[in-house]
Amino acid sequence: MIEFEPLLRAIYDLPLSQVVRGAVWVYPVLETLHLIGLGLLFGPIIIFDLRVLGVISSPAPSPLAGLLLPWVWIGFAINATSGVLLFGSDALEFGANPAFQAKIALILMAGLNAAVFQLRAAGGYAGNAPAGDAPSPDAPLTGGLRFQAALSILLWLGVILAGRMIAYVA
Amino acid sequence: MSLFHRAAACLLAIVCAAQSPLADRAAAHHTYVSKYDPDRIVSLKGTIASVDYRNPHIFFDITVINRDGSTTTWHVETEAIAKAQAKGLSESKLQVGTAVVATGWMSRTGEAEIGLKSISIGAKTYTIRNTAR
Repeated sequence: MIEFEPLLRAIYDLPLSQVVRGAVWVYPVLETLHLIGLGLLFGPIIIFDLRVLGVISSPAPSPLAGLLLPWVWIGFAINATSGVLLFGSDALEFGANPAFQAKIALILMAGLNAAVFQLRAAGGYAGNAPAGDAPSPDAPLTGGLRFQAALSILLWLGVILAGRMIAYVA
Repeated sequence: MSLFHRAAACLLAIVCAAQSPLADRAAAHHTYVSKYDPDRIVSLKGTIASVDYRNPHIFFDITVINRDGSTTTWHVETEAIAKAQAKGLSESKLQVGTAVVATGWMSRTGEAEIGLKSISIGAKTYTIRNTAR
């Protein structure tokens, strides 16, 4: 097991971390940004996953993904930035917090799931189209993709739950 | 779909593992009631030993001389900076060495820690919270 404590202490001691925990309004503003980012991240993801699952029947998954994905990235950027800053302000506590560790693991699993989904969906569109044609926007939604959409919802709900539990477990 | 069920069970196990050591150390912030016992209130007379005036919650330590002459360092948790300031408890009020009487709810873990209800410094009393819930 790697000893993380010196690194976490160095992050805690950064001037930026001191500002985040010591200034009156920086912390609550970062918390607010983290909620805005969560909305932009989770909203589009769950809508797309529900489309793949068939709970929502239109539009076709591919154009829907094109519409929603940029907002997911904007939300992710906001939350990665605000999250790193909040983490730094209390790095030793967060680093040792089991809910925080679970949250990071779940984010990595959700990201991996999304990456695999994109690869499989792209393959599906290409395989669906006649040779030389552009990929069809209506790739068949196989059971595997539906499973991944359900997993995506569960993983992101897990991220939210684990994130909220950081304040309640030690 | 058994693969689906297995993945769901795996996820549930992770989330439950994260919750299992519920409120057993003095690390978590937020909600007094999960951390402090509303039915056990104490008043501590002592001097401020250290202050961590920070967000999301302020922490400070009080050195208390017990009846038998021994000393106990009590940890005190209170609100966010903006809220404490709104109640009059600015950083300058919490100086190391200052004599205080701190009243609060005992930690559920049995450790020497309270969630602050009110604090008297000199002739002034600052009521920070009225209830632990």
